[in-house]
Amino acid sequence: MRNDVRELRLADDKSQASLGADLGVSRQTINAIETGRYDPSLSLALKIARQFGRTVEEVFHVEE
Amino acid sequence: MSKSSKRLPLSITNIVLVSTFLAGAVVTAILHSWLAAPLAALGVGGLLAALYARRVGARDITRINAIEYRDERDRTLAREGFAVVGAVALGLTVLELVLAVALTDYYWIVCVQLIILCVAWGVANSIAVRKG
Repeated sequence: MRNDVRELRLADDKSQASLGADLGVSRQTINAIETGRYDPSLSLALKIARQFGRTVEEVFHVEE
Repeated sequence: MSKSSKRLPLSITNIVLVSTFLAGAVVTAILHSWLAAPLAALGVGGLLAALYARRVGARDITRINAIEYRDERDRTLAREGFAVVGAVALGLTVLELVLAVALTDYYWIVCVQLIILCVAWGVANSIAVRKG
């Protein structure tokens, strides 16, 4: 699953560590999500989307 | 319903493990067994490892190996590691059963099994972290 977390985070001028702290997860988890190595749970995906004022579909994209 | 944000100083699993090792060390010391020292070392070592993994900025593999999970990814990766340990344990238990029937003194087999399971756990955690 692709996502725009990295682009949205950089647009907000946030580090992986500070985004992780906001969401209650580790820096490594943010890194793994951004690089596509880890697909977050639905609740974490919702938290990420809300963090950037977007919907889940706007942040995460299923590869056809 | 509000949820307390206060964290315990160690995970519940580590509290149980450290307490068990230290209680075992006390009991074996009373029985004058040589096992008291290694059990005490494991208890104190586990406590220090857990506290080290708990600090801010600890690596994910450090947290997972110390059973100090911080978020859902840590728990997912830990499950993968423990699944491998379970599979290895099943195979080893069959081997242990055969050896227990064939040998009278198989104390060392249990020790070897424990060491193999610990190594399998560490390797499986490391692979899971690299993949996810």
